[in-house]
Amino acid sequence: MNEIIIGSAAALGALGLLFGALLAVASRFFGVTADSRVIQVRENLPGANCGGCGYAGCNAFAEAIVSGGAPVNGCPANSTENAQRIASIMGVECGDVEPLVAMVRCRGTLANTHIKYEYEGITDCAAAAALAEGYKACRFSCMGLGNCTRVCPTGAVTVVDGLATIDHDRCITCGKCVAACPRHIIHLVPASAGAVVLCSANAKGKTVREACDVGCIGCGICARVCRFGAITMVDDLPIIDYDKCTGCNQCVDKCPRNAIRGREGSRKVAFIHSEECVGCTLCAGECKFDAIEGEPKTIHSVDPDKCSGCKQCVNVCPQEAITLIDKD
Amino acid sequence: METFKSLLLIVLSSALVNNFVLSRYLGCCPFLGVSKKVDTALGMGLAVIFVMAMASVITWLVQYYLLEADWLAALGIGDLRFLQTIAFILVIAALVQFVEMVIQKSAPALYSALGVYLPLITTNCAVLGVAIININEGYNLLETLFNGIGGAVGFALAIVLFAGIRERQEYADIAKSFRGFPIALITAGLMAIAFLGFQGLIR
Repeated sequence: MNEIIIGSAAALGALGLLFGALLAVASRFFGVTADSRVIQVRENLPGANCGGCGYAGCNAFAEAIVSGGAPVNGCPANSTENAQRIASIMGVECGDVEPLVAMVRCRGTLANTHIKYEYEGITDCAAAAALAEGYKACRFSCMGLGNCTRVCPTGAVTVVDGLATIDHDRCITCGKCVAACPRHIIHLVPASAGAVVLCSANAKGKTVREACDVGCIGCGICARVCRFGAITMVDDLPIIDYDKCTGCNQCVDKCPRNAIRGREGSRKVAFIHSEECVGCTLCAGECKFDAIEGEPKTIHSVDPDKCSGCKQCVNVCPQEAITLIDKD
Repeated sequence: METFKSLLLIVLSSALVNNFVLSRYLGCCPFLGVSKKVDTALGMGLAVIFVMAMASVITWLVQYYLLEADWLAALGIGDLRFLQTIAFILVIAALVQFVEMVIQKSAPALYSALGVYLPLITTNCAVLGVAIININEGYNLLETLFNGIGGAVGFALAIVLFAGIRERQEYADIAKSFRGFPIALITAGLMAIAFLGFQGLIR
């Protein structure tokens, strides 16, 4: 018995050694030296092969970067530091990329949206949406059957109470859920966006009211209260220009349906450090909420009740005397 | 003359009558995977011809001079025939590595066109199949070589013909649900029926 085991191991081992040696010799004649930059670049990519860059995987993307066809910051899931490292490998500049996050623009949980009928078909959002415009009364709402959950490579999307919910810590912004959603309600928005509309209903107020307790009724109050011209009403839905939005939360506070979500974290107010303020009044002129008081050449102060934390005064202060602090 | 005749029969039989893809249903993965363009199909066919011919010869040598060699009995082992599959796979894997190296060096365009299907020749059951058929049929070394070449030429023939048809299908007006793989599978089936016509060629 022992002879057979040892014989087998020896036979296969000998074969393996022989072929290995032959291949080693052959590689001296036929070996191709790979571009070492491809390996370096690939080491600075997440390696999830999510395809968010538009290439077949991280390896294909690394090759595309090195052969010059792809931007060094083309990976949506990559951190800025890694993108900069790739840029230095390639010897190019890489601009700052605004990180994006996937956002479900619907709040239609089973409790919020009215249910038309009980759906017992296959677990597929597109199929459910095709059956009499879905089992939820709103024809723009999340179907909650998890097409997005199934394509998410990191398990960041879960369906909670009939509504797709995204864990932003896990989201790598690959955009797969955006493509998978048959109702196109998942969008990639800048992580720093000051306000995001959490409804996708391009319908008149009456229709939305009948279908959902929390949907946007297209009243346009948000567009009127916005002092920065960041909101326009298009097809009964506010469109927020994230470049203009300052995160002042006026629309968030005034929305009668609470359909706009502000920036995460606590509210901020401006605070003027008296030792640096020279009383130039630039901040007071910039403030759209009349929250800054003070005569020229005297130290200014901020009325925290009026201040919205829009940060405009911080940006104009030549003395850098203003910082944002937590409101409470 | 007699040898020549029997070798010709072996080649014809393995290339046409018992075509690996269309009669034995071996090696369907690359057959469907790299048959979108005639050029790459031809490259695949040539790579398989080389691997199958070499694998036939080397596995034959491994079988008779290692796995069931006389000197094993002298060592008190009997024979190692049960290692056939793993030993053959080892041979094929080494050969594929070699082919991959050569193609990467000499034809990078073909290398990237073949993509994953090139290393997958390792698990191409047509290659393992021809090696095992050679042993089961009791062929001698020369017959083994010709059986390997014949089988591989049959594979190359089938994949190139199939690629030619699929290239034309790209421009054909095919019902939406049949586009792509469904019509390719139907085409493969029709080709298999056509190759049935060779059955009467050799008695």
